[in-house]
Amino acid sequence: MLKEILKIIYSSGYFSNRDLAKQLNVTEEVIIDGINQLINMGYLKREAKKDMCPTSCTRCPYVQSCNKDIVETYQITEKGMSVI
Amino acid sequence: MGNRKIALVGNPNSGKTTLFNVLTGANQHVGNWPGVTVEKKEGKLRYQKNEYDVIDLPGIYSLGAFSEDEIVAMDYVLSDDADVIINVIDSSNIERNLYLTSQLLEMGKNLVIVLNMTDEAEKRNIKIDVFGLSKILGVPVISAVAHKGEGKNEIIKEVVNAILKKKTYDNPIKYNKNVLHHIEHIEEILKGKKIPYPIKWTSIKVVEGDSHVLKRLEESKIGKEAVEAIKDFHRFHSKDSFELEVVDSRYSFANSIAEATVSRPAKEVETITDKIDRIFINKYLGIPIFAIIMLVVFQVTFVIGEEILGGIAAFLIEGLGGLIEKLLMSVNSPEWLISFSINGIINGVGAVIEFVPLITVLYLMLGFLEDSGYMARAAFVWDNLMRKFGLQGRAFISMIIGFGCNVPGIMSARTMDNKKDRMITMFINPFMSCGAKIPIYTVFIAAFFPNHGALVLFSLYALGVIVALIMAKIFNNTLFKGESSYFIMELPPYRLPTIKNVLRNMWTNVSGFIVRAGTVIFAVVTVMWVLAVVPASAEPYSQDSLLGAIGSFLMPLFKPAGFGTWQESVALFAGIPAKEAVVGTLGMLYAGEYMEEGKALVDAIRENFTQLTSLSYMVMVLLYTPCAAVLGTIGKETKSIRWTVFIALYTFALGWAAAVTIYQVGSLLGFG
Repeated sequence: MLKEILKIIYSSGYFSNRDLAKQLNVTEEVIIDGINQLINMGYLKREAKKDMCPTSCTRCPYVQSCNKDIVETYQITEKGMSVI
Repeated sequence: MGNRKIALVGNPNSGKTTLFNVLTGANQHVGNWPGVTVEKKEGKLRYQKNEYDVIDLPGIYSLGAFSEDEIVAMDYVLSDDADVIINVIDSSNIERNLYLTSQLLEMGKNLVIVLNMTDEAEKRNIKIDVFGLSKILGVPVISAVAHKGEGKNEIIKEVVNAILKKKTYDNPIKYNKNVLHHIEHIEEILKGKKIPYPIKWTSIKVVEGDSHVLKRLEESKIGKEAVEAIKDFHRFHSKDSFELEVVDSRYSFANSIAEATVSRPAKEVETITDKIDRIFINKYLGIPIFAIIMLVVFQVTFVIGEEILGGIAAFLIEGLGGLIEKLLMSVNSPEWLISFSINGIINGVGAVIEFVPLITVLYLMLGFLEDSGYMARAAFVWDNLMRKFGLQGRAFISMIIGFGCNVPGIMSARTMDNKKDRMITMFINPFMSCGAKIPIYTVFIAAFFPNHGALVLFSLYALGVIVALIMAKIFNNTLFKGESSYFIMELPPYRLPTIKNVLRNMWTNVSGFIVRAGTVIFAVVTVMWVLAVVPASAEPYSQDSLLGAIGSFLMPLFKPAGFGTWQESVALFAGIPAKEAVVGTLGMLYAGEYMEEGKALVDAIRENFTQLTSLSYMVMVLLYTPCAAVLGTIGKETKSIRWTVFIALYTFALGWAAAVTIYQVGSLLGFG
């Protein structure tokens, strides 16, 4: 299943848990765990967004914009690419 | 002999602790597992004159080395301290829970499965073949609703029975041949050695590369030779993905069990999200749809923010100005104070504040799009195009953030590992029309394009993006050659935006705008006002003032772009500390110049510009040198004065060239 997840998300450039669950005939929760497993094992990397503003920014009127959560992005690591 | 021990293992939210409370009642105490901060809950179960110790292990999704909770649970289960393990499963989410079950079965421990929350599963019409599950796994399976106490007696009976039987299980998971071969190889290495865990299970974990198990093996007395043999195995197979194979084997097992024993109501084949996405992220329609949506956003912004609310804001500021003037005159205030208050503050800072309603509506609309999940689609749609220009889709997120303010837009490039991506993203972000540029556009639109405001605003935003893409391509082929990182986006389902999130997004931007107007813009306008009224010998707000001298010095530079007066040139100069100050300075200078006529800023602009020069002026504002805060951020992020100066100069040159081109070509075509 994990290999399949990697292959599907690599070929489409995006994913939704719902789509993956549908394609692999499992529940969305299983996909969420699968993605987390891939991250834990170093095949996939979730891009860090939080805490990127240094503390000196706290006075900046736009400080909250820095941590905007428009979309979660991931990167398939070199290890992940070798599996694909 | 001490009490027999029962350990509870399960996923978070599986109702494990509820079952623990049901089994132990008030007989429990809480401590910590030795050496870690993980909570340890223990209690006593009394049944048929016997007392049992019940241990509630931390809630986990798997047993491995990825968290303290997992390590604590794994070490305890393997320690043989417990006589029986109760695996608590959330019945409504059984497929997910079965992964942990597969790991417990892999350990071969004495197990009882409790299918908890069966009432929830029933509500969702999930049917579980309890008998079939027990038969396939060979493990007792009990249905329960722990929070109602249902199934308590059956669980206790089955657990006591399991303790008496001391049953253990064979590992039911089927690994592929290659992995199996290596497991056997490791088993050979470990045979006869004193190891902290069962040998079969340890061999699997070694092949899987579990860091905790490898560490424990190194610390135990298995001998240097065995440690080296294991290290050699990992060195030799560093390119293999055995851990993925092992984990996948467990998933295959768990999924096959779920398929055989669980039935769920058929899901809707095509959801609303599917239907919308078929159009919104379509390869050909995605970007035109994005353009239409943005055009609608600008149209609504103009109608509500400018035409309806903008007039009210202008009226209020004008009224406030009149009141202050009267008040100051009534107390015989010096003329300079009246001039500063009215021309500097009211017509300068007030000219910026007037745009608060417009900014509010714009960010309300953008917040609505973000919270609905559409912006994630927009980022994906742009991703394909971005890649053609040597960028990655994540750069689009920085660009969207840059529409609020370029400072966080540039900061957001920090998350990019690839230096090339990071640098290009920072270098092009100043072309995004930030909130500070909106007052400048709007005042010119009101003067010359009142009926096509949305279209002009949209065109300016689009031009910024187009220039950014072209520059990205140029940088990609010259200064920062190399491959872009490949990113994958997770598209959340569409959802109805929450008022709280939309308002919060709006307030972040609007409060930032107001704070800047009251601090930076106030300071810049004050400095400009002082320069406009000194020396005392000069006519205030005239070309003879110090500011007039600066403007006159800059005027020849901007003449080819059609900006014929010193005020226009000096306003651009004032825009470098903060972009809003362009409007503030023009407001202040024109108010001073037309004091007797009492002309509004829009009328003054109409008198000093033409449609063509207003266009070239807006394009100049869009592209030229970013504000001081942005330059400071670029300096900090690139850690280079040279790059900062380069950005300040190249953007200026680009803005100037674009403005000159528009004016000269427009004049040639007879639009002058």
